[in-house]
Amino acid sequence: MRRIKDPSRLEDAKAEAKASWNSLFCGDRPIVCTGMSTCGISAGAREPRDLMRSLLSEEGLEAKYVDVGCLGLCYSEPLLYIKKPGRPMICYGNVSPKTARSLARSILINDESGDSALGAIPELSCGEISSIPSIWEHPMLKSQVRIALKNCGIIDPENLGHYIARGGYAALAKTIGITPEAVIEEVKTSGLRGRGGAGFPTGMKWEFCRKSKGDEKYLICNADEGDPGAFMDRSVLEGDPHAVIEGMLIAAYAIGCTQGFIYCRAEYPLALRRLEVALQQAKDAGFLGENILGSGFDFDITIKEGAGAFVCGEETALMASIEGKRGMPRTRPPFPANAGLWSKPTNINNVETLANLPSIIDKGGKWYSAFGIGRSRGTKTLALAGAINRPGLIEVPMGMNLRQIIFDIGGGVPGGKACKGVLTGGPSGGCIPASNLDIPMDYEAITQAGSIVGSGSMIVIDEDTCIVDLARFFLAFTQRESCGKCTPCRIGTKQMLGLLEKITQGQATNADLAKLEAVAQAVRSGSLCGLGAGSPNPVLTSLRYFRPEYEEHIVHKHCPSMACSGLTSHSIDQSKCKGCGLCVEACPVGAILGDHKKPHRIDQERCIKCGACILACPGKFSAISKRSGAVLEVA
Amino acid sequence: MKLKVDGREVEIGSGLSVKDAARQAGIYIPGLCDHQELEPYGGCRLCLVEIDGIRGFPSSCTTPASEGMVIKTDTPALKSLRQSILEMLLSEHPCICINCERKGKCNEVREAMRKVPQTMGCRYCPKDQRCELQKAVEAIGLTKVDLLPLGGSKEIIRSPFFDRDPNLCILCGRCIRACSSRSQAISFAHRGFDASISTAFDAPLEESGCRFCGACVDVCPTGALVERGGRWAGDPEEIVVTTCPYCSANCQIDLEEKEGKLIRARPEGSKLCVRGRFGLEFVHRDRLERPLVRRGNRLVEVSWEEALSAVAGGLRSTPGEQFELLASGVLTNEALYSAEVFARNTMKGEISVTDVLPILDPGSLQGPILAVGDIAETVPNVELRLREADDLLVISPWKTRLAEVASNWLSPEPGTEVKVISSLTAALSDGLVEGLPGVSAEEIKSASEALRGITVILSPEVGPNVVEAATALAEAAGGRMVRLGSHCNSRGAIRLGLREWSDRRLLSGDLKAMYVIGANPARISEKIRESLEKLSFLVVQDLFLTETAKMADVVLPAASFAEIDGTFMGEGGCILRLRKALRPKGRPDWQITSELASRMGTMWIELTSPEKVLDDFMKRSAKDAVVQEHPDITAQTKVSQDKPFLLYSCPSLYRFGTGTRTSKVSDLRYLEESDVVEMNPKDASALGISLWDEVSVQPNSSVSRARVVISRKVPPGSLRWRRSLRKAEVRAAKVWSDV
Repeated sequence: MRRIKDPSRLEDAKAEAKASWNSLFCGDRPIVCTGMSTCGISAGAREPRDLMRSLLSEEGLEAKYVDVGCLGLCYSEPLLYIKKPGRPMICYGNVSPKTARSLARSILINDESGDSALGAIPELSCGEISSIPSIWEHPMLKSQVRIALKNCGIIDPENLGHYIARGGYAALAKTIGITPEAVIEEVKTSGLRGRGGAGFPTGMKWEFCRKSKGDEKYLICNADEGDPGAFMDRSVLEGDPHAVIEGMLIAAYAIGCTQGFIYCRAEYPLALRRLEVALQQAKDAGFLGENILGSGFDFDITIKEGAGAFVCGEETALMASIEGKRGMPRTRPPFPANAGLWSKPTNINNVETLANLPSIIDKGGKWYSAFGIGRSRGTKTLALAGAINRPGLIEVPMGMNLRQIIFDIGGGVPGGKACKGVLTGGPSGGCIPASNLDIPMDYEAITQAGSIVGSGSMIVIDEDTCIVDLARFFLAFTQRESCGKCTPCRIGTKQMLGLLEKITQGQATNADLAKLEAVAQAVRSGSLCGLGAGSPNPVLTSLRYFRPEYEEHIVHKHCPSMACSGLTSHSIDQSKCKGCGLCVEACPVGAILGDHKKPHRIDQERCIKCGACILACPGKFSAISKRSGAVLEVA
Repeated sequence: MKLKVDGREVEIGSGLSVKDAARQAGIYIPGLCDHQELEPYGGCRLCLVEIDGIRGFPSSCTTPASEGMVIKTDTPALKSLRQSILEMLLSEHPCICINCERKGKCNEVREAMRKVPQTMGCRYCPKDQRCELQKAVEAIGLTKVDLLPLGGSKEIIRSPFFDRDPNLCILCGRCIRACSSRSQAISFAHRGFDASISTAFDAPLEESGCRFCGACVDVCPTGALVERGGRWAGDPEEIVVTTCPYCSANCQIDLEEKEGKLIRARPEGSKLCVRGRFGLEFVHRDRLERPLVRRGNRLVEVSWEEALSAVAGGLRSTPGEQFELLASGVLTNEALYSAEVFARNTMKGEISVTDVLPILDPGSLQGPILAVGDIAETVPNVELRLREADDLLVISPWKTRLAEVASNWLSPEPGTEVKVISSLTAALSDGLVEGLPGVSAEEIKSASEALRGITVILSPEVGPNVVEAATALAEAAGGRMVRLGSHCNSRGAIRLGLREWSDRRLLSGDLKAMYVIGANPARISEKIRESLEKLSFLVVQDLFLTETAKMADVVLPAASFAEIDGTFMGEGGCILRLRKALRPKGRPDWQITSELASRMGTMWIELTSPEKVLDDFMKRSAKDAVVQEHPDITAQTKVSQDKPFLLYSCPSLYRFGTGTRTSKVSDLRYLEESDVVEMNPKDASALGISLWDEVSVQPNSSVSRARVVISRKVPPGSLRWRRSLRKAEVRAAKVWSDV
């Protein structure tokens, strides 16, 4: 793209981009779009796409191929959208090589029969989608409001023209036409709060940094997404990197920063690559660098890769890491707004916060604040995972209740199992029980329920998940990721982990439970940073809602979910066993003893509780069962 | 500003922490990671407080105090929080003594408990009673530890001078912060519970840039870092403040004495280097205690009376012009003065001193600085000050420690430093710029632009050509030149007008008798050794039976710096005290020479006490002080084509002067056991030489042996010869491996 030297030329560029967008999507060639974010690629999207390409080119048909980001329907990846000439763009889910073949055939004969699928994508269709249901009517998408994700899965993230055709960089042009104070005012009006987890009002944060004295100020985009089960930032960066860059430009202009950094974890190679491409495009087009759009505003962005430490998502540790030091948090004050990166005033925003900005500036803060409830305005992206029918990435207005999110959008718990609860906020969050799902998704309500909104990961658990084991899992994570600086986090998490292990192994007493609570409280109050202070949350909330389950483990040595291997045993019902010996063959450790045609038994000393015997035992016998809490079987 | 701590109003200055404010209010807040000399850290979480208007429990060491703050340090919530956190710390710390039911009843078995290879509790620990964690337990009132025991049995890491016991480490990070301004040899490694303090790749300290200054040991709150010498000595009976007897930085030292032994030396308001911190145990090693007199081929012990008469007898017959007294820059003012009086008045002869080049003191260091020479090895404390300079230019063929942190580093070919300095002068005064081998014209030009008002700092080992060039540069730049002294009392010797020793008279055979005090000329070269042997009468006064003493006719045992009251002359002519901490093994130098003077019939003045000597010294030196021409000590020889290596002999931190004292300290000896040559990897592989191989170095007719260290800091074709002698020399040399 040519360098755009002033805002008026942006209109021309947009017209140009729109024209080429139209010629692409309204042309007479078939178009194949593939969801090629990390989720799509790992689900195997490459294979059907390439197969389709070779099938069509064998037949001499030159179709157009566009790789798009993630639409959020991760459960039905790989996603392929196909547009036959004169027909709407239709989205197909779970595309295998086999379906790719039949889709290729339907393109060749211009057959309408496959047009049902998940729905039509109006944005990519030329004109009417008529009889075909829109993809936005899909149950997972119907109640979503997509602002940060508005381009994800729609545009080619590596094509700046696509972004501009969809209205990209108009907000930048608008921003540089008004004063920085007016920009901050607009963001304040929007009610936008930090989407990285802390929920601090963004406009206010900017104002602190703007007012802070300093010859040089920095802006950092925090893309060090590390919560287990969270992938919001990755999807945005992979699906719409220019939105983040534009957001950074708006923030930098408002605050007065001249240098920006994107701190992105190295485990996101695709996001990093797409960011690099986007940064280069933005530089070439004159959106980044010196004298942006002829306004005299200079800003540049450097990518800094994180080296895989969870704690580097904490802002002070992140800055230390950019400075080349070990990623360890420090106490505040001084706050980054006064003395941040290299002791200069620094503003740090999360990817999602930044991705919301172009729309806020474009459509106004009032428009944004119309979504949401109470002090939580706008929308929030959420990563649905765990025991849920439709895992994926969604964006909903704040205030939607959890039940609606899990059941209406996520499709509920699979396998007819009962929903036990939902974990929000990752390892610093907590588990909200199924009975409490009617609370709205807003910062205050979730905090009151003992958890946090956090970055937006939602892990649904069903009845097979043991709450103690889950707390143990998260503690093991925070313990491993503690930087080791402060005592409560480094040792307290180890103590909590040790006590939880004792409970899951049936060796704990009631005194240990009291000890666990006491340590958890001390870690919460005494830790230096959010990682430590949040680490007891999974323990404390689960104790709040599921205390009987803990007590069951301690008093009755019984794990109701049969998940704690230390409290379960496998046994053979002597009356049902026919001594067929299939389990003997299946057992990897030779723990099953018994003569042929006579009932067998399991040597509990040897058994590793892998469950292979249960699978091996013929259904007509069903002699082997898993038990918990009962006295071990004797032969 | 005014604020309230636990209801008490305090008024404090700005820039202080909440913890400082509480201290001023007389309120103690426990804390283990905080240390007055280090940046606040906020890691141990024991100093948490409550402050009105601030959420949660901020750490008082990192929270800046501000006007009107209302601080509470002792609420029930804080008390229980501190107890919980301390309990956590102790759950991974050997603490059986805290839970022990028979606390304090184990005194009679203490000796046996020390033999347990692993510290299991306070009574097993060398830091018992001196441990800050113990004090925190008392202050916080923790009586038992009731958490899962998490302590492991990690291996204790042995290093020179001190041991590192990771089992006792509480990860307060003090050692890392103390090291950060010095060597950056250690840092945190790993995450979570496995977090530990480590060198890069867990290499031994001696391979990690550690210079064994002991700053980490001094700040360690627990027994994780404990010096090996005096490990079990506990608290000292007496602490004596004195002056370090090594280089011209004259650091002040706390000598800790117990039962007549020097158990520890600690910095007194200054930073010490390895020599001052760990290099003083020579006072207890191989000391001469009784005078020796030569009987045939043997030196035999005699009484002082007999020895002094022997000296008087031997010297009485020596004409003044055939006598020379050789003293050393490590002697006190009193010793030097008394020796001078003896040599000039009694003997009517000459006195000269090793290592007294004219000194100019650094004073306050401001503006741009140019450093030449290996200051890190010679005057380490000045190097630490230079590291903090904003605008530092370094001229060195090697990547010295200062070159690593300098804002500009010019790296000429070895031996051409003078040319670079002269080019800078030329660029400055005439605008003439020319490139040199290793330094381009541009580099000269840009460096010369930042020279206005520069302070040129020369390490003691640099040659006279460099001094001359540097003087010219300082003049052209409108700055000043600083010449660092080599020895602790070089200044005193200069004030007395004593000359630098030249071996000319000795080698030419003009001398009949010599009196050597505190110097070891035999170590300098084979020729000197041979000439010393030819003397008809040689008296050596020293702490040890040095190579020179072994050739002497009479050997007089002297008292060491720790055994006498006396003075050195410090920076700017100030008087620094030596204070007696130990019972003397020999006699103070000044006493011996004045006693001899009176025996030989020249009782012109009464030298009865050190104060009296100093008094006289000051009167004399004030009027007689002359700045001398420095003798030509180094010559740069041209490198002929047939000699492959350019040999650059350099000073070493671990060997001081002729190494007489440093070689008595076993770990200093371990660190620099033999002469070492640093060689570029390319040269090493061409010669098939690997690390620690012994090679022969032939700089002139004589051959020396040295071990090879392979280092990229040395350019190919040159060798850095770290050896016992202090003087820097550049000459060509052959090197070969015998293997």
